[in-house]
Amino acid sequence: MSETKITRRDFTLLFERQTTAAHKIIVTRFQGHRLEMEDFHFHLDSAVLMPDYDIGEGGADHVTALTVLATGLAHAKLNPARKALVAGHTDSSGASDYNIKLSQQRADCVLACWMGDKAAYTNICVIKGKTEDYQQILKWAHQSKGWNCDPGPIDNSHGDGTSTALKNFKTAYNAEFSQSLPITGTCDKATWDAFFDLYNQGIANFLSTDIEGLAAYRAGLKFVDPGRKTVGCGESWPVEGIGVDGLQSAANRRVEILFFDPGQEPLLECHPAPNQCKATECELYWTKCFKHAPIPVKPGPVPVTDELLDIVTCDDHFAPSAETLSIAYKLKSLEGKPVTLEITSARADATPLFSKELTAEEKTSGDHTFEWDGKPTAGALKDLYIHPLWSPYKVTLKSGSLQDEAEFKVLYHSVEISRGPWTHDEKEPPKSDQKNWVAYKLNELGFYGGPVYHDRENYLDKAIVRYKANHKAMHLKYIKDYKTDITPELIAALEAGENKRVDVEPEAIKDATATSRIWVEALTYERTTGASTEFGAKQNRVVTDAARLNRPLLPLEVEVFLKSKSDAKTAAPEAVGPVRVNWKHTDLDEDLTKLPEDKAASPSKTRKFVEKSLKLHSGGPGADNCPSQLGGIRNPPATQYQAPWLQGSSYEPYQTEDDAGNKTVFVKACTDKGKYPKRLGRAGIMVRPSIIAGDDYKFKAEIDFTGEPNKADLEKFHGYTDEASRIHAHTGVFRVWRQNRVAYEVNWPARTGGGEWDLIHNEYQAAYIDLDVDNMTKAKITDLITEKQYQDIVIANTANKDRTKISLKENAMYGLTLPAQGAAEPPDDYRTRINTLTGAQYWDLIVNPIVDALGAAIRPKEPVGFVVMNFFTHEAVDVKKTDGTIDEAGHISWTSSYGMPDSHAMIDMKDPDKVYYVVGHEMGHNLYLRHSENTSDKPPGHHDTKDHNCIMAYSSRSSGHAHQAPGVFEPHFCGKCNLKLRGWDMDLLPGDSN
Amino acid sequence: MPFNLQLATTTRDITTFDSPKLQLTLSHDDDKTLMVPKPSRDGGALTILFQDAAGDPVRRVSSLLRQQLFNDSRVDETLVLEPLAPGGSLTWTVNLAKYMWPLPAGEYTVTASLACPGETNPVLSSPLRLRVQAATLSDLDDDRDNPILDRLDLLVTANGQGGPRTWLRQFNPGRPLAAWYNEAVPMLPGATNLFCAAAAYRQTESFEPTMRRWIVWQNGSQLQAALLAEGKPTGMGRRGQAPAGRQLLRQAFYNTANQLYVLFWNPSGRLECCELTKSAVVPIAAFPLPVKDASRLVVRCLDEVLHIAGPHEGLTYWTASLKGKILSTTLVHGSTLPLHVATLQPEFGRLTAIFNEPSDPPTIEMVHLDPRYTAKPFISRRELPIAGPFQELAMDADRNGRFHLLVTTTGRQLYYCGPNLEPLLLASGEERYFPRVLCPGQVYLGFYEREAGFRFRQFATSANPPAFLEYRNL
Repeated sequence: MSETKITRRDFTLLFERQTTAAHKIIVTRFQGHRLEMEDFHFHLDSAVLMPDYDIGEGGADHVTALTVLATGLAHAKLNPARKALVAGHTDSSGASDYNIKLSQQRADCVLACWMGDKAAYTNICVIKGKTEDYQQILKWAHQSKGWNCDPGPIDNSHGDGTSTALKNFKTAYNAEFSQSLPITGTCDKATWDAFFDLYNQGIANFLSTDIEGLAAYRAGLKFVDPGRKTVGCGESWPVEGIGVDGLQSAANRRVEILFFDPGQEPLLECHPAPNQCKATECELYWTKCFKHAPIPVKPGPVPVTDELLDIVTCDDHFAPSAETLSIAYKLKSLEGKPVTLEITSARADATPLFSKELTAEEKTSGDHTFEWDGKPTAGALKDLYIHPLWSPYKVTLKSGSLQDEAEFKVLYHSVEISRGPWTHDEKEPPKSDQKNWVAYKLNELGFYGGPVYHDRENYLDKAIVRYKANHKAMHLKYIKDYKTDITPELIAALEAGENKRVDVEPEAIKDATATSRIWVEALTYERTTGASTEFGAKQNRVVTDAARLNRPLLPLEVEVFLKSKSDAKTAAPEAVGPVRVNWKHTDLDEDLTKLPEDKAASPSKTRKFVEKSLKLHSGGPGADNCPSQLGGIRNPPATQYQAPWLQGSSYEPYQTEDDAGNKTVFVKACTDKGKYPKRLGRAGIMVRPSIIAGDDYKFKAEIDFTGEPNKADLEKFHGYTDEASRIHAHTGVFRVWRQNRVAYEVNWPARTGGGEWDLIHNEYQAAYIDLDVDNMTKAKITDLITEKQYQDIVIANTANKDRTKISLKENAMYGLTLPAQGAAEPPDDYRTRINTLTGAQYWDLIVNPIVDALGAAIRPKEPVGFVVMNFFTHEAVDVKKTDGTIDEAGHISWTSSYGMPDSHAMIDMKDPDKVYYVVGHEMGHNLYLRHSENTSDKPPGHHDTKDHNCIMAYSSRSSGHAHQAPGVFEPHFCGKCNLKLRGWDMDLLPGDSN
Repeated sequence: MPFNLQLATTTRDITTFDSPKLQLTLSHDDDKTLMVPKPSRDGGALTILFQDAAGDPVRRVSSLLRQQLFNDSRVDETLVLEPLAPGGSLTWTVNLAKYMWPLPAGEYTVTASLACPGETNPVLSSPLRLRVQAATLSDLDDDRDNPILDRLDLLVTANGQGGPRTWLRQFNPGRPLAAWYNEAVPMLPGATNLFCAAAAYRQTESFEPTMRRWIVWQNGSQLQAALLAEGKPTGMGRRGQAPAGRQLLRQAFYNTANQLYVLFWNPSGRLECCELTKSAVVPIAAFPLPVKDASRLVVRCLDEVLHIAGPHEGLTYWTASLKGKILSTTLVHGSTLPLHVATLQPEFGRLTAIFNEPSDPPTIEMVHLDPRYTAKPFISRRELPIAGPFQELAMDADRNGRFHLLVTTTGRQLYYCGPNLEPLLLASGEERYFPRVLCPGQVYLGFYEREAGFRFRQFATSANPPAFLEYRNL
């Protein structure tokens, strides 16, 4: 169903909608804001605005005309975009046309008083003034100023009392205003002028300003139609009864000051000319077109006195501790009287936060400025600094019945995310606190040693083992042999900062456009049991990862900044207050184009499989990290927000709390200066991503006022309209990557044409494994094992016992002279026998001890990393036919390449397949991958059965897939392999990509 | 299609113990030279299909399968082409012993198919018919040695329609699914008690020794021997009168000079070693051994040192010089059970033995050890829930020291007893199965069945349930 919003003005417009379909059309009303000058302020048939109601006529809770005018000025200042219109009304006594004119005059009178237009006011008063008007004004002057000008009853009859009152008024006026009105008993134009001056004084008093200050207010007024600031509506729009239509007037002699936001202004076509009103065309008072919200007005009388107590200006906001609050005030005639300055907050208890009796010097007549440092002298914040959460604050200057107030705030400016320290004081624990010292050091060195002082989930033990495994001197052959004890050797290594590595790239912490990597080791399988069981089972990679890896740790902090007086970002940690900072994360959609393309020469289903898997367990856009059911940490949608955080109090001093209702976690900014001086004004959290490569996170910290009783105010002050408008900071994207390196290329002999390392790097890159292929050591076999070692291996493991016949050759693995071909031995038999002799009966028997020997030579230098050994099985030999002619010159057998424990990949260079494929395949075994198609030991369930392009398959000419031909096949990891490499639990993945 | 492929064989009637040889001839009628797969490097271009009498395919073999049956490493599909001139032809022989295990009894149609470059469809031969008849295995002697390659030779004698015949087959013990060769051995009438002699040396200069094997037999009181090359007579022979009152042990060995030694047990308690020359049995040395059942002795010779294992206080291991001196005596495994059979490979320091107590239930004790005590011995003692008595026992231990045992009973049943498994009934009905077990990495079980002959089959013990793996390539 379509939805269209229109106003009454649109009723004449044509618009089209499809028939036979339902359409929703919503008619909205325009919004106005109304100040009502109640009927008390106009006498019958008079257009003169009374400053106040007559005692007994209104009551103490009625608003006065001057208050309305002052409130109108204040409202215009607070809402500078709003435009005004003054509308006058009459009751129905008299002719309609006359009433229109009268209502116009009333509106004009109000406008004159509001705008400070003495001439216009006086002009109206002279024309439309009545005796009862100046009688009431004289009585008001008597009551408010204490002047002796009470005319007696307001009876609209100019008697002696009225004359005397006029004389006395003029005398008092001349004295206070330094004027020289003739002292007569008549009310002439000059008398109306004097009345007007008192009106102004009253308005200024209400606004706690003076005449100059009043002019500033008036200068900011804007009107709906600058050429038509008033309209007279006559008797067309009577009130319906007190409270019924939101109006207070009982009779209809009211004037309204109306305000409109831009776009909400009324059309004034119903007033085509002055003194004209076409009520039927009015939209302003047509309730189906307009609604008017009353602007609150403080009730009560306005003092009119020569004593002045005025807060001229007060900073709207300031950053306590970084700057002072400037309160500019003006005093007049208050010397010798007590004048008090108080600062309060509705959030504080009854006692003012700050209270000060002004000194004699501070209360002389004239302008003063008081600078307040923001430190309360009483209450809960005593000796601290005020902070934004208790805003707004009120400064009150008062003396006797005089009082002026100003509001100010402390505002947040922004937040900035940075990497947090491992300890709150940014110092390492004492060495005597051994475990925590080690955890700290391991964290510093990039090994995720766990929350310092708050170890959990074996973080420390696992990190110790990983550190030892990566350390030259502490590396052991079998992972099962590691102990978690803290040895002097470990302490010394940590102290020396050995093996330092980057745990998380820093760029994305501060740069929301950057992408950084969180590093996790890409573990290879170890010979832990003597059998291949660790390698074999589908879930063993996951099991090993769980046993050895820690989820990464990234301490993040936001520093909360305040807004200075000049709106600049200001560090004022002592005045931040315990503000709530929400920590949120976004799971970015994976870019599947980085996975292999499905093309004819290489019909890969990797993208399809990965795409399908990313959708498992409610996955999809915004939620495609590995789900918790498959080894990741992505929760169901309801609790997804909890996933990457270390909750609770493990990251001192912060307490990470769960707000299930708003689906966020939050941390309150630290305020404990005594205990955590370096964390003041910050809210930190420990990020704990998954260990699954490819999972990504973008973090957001935002200031949230949820839970604050003055939340609405705080949100208004900070311009919050929706979640997006909250003060916040984003990090860039963090993506988990697995990391490993090729440590050694062992050449037995060197490969001709290079190792296609870039292609191998790219294959693993697709699974978010960063394989460093740029820093390997290249060595000859003879650099790493001695001939005697080799001979010992051969003698111990093969049938060859004659040491003199065994040599370590640089160009081939087989260490003996190849047996000659039998005289009648067919060439294919000879090749098969050579293959059997050098393969199954030699290479297969020595490969494990060769790996052990290489490990013994290499691991003290390179404790981890792949060792890729290129070899030829034997030296080249000519194969003859039975007739003695050459069948094949320079034959070398192709035996077996192996992906072995301890990251050893043994690569037979006679393999006809592409180098990247062979090496990538064997290294895949190192990384727990099993065989796929065209192999004899392919276990079920390890691969996408619809993907005939897996690098863990063998090439084959007879497989039925032409692209798999040896030397032609360009495979990539199938989707299941890709995800297993990342760390997904492959046992729970789909069977295929369809 | 310009090509023509002819398929022929010399014998169309064979037994379940024979491996026929197929002769293939490829020619073409094109007027220019064409490139064709090189027979010795055909990358699987040639396949040979066997169909049963119903026309159903039962087996397809190729050079790729041949590789699979000999080694479990990657199959090399390298294809090499060679020119075939106009009017020329290419003839080669495919010895099916290397490509497959013998066919079970039945009638078969054989068709060859050759994928030639540029041809959409493979070149098909005319069909060839084979009839395979069952034969009854009556004797089997095996010998494993390592003159250059680790090899296992089986000397099998079977009775078929034409009377008893003997074949010599050679396997790669690491993967005994096809044979290096399988040749019928021409024997003299009256030959009995045939057995192989083992090479008592290892050399690395040539593959020739791996193709050569002395076989020994009795003919009345005569002891005779012949040197075969890939199962075929070389013309070299030995003959001599066996010494009286001695028990001939079915073990012999020879050196690089083709000096052939045979062994006798002197009831006085001596092991006697004699050289069988061209015309005589010449005593060389004698060794007093405290052995009661000499038939359980196993003797190997390597580099002129005799390695002897036999039943004494369990299992005792001796070394001796060919000059008659006992060099060492070691009780390698103490047992109160009677020794059933032992195997010994001195080049690998490998000694296995099965002890069998015909109790109820029968008790089996198996050991696998290095007689030089350089490795940890593996020992297993089990009471088998199989109704005895046992007739035949065969065992091997895998790389992890787990024992794989074949047991036949007088009830004509064959069981497999593997680690952590209840005995599995593999076959029934045969009086004897001649079981053999090899566990170089995978588990291979060899046994005889009348309709299939004798063959090794790969047994997947980790499958559920454990099952034989077939390589029919269909």
